[in-house]
Amino acid sequence: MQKWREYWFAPSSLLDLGVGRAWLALVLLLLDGTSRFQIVGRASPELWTPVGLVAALGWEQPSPTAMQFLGWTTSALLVLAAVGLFTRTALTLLVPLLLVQEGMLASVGKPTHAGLPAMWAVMFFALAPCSRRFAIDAWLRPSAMEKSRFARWPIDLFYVVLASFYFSAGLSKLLWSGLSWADGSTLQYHLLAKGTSPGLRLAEFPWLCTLGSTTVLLWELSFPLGMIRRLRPFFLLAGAAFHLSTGLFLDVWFWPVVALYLLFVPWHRHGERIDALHT
Amino acid sequence: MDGRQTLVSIFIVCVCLVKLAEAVLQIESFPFSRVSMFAAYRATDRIPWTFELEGWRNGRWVEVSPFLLGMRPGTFRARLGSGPSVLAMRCGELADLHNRNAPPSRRWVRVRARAHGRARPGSGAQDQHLVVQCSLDRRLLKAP
Repeated sequence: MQKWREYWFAPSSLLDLGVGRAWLALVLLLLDGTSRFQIVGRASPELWTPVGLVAALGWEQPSPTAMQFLGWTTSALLVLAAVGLFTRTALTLLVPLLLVQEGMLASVGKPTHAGLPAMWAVMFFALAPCSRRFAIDAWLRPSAMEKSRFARWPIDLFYVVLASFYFSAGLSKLLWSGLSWADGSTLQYHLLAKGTSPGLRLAEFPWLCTLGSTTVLLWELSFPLGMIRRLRPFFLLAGAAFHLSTGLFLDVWFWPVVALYLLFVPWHRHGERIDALHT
Repeated sequence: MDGRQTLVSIFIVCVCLVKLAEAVLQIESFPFSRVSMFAAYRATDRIPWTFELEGWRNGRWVEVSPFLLGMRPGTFRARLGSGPSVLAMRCGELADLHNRNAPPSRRWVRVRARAHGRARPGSGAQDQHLVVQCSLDRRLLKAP
């Protein structure tokens, strides 16, 4: 019990949490904007196959106007969350709003992998004291508190979400294909199918495809080890390299996921300067 | 632990259990995902195919892009499948999707798919190029 408390509830910097909240909101603002979900309203009605959550709500395909309204509402709430004004309310409203819109996007056949971890992060930040630093709310209600016992768990729990994300991806490769997935043939296939210029060059070297596949599989399956904090930077740096590679070679950019790696940066160490921005 | 820590602990345990179940049971139901991109094995004899669609309308061939069908490129590719064996049927279904909702003057009268198969490097095989006529639902062309 003592270990559990030390791991999750050791006093931590509220500045880290505040900067993290602002960054999360900015990433979502860039990802979603007012237009990402617009395709739901414009998609052919034949494509509308409501996923479980949307079906449970009994909703029909929304009109483009309705999606536009939701898009503007989401953006306004994200701006509030980013600047830290009515922070708790904005984040709390964003949780169902993002969930429903992502669900509707999935209902017209768009895979939503890249947006899922961010949704979890919004939920964790909504429950955390993330507006006590680096927020207009903090400026309106000043407090001398620098640390909180509740400032660490949202970040660490977000690592659990990422760990599950990558481990699941690795496990699905093992379950679908076995260890032969790592022989490089599958990677070579997708490199050729995507046809990017660096990808086509890489596909000419089967041994490099084998090396790449093996490394990715090992990294994905061992990512949960980053729950040990001192190992975390290694897994995150490898993750950044992985996403950069998939972008470069396969044109698969999971930029919102890798952008959220910055939530793990201990901002307070870098800055009295950051703190000075809101005082 | 105080009451608030206990509540947060319960929340943390619940999230961890949900994420563990999602990964181990490979749940693929929104908002859960097994993130199984590229998980299926592709043996060395399997050739990757790419497709382009062209539709005949108002006396000329026009590219049928994913966006024209209200789809993202990934959805478009997934709907066409991974090889030419079912291409005629699959691309016909996509064209029907458009024709069903388009006014008569905007409907595709004929649609063809250009399929490009890229040979695996070192296999000695050549790239393949095919043109497949898509099977359209003719009734949609006569509908008002």
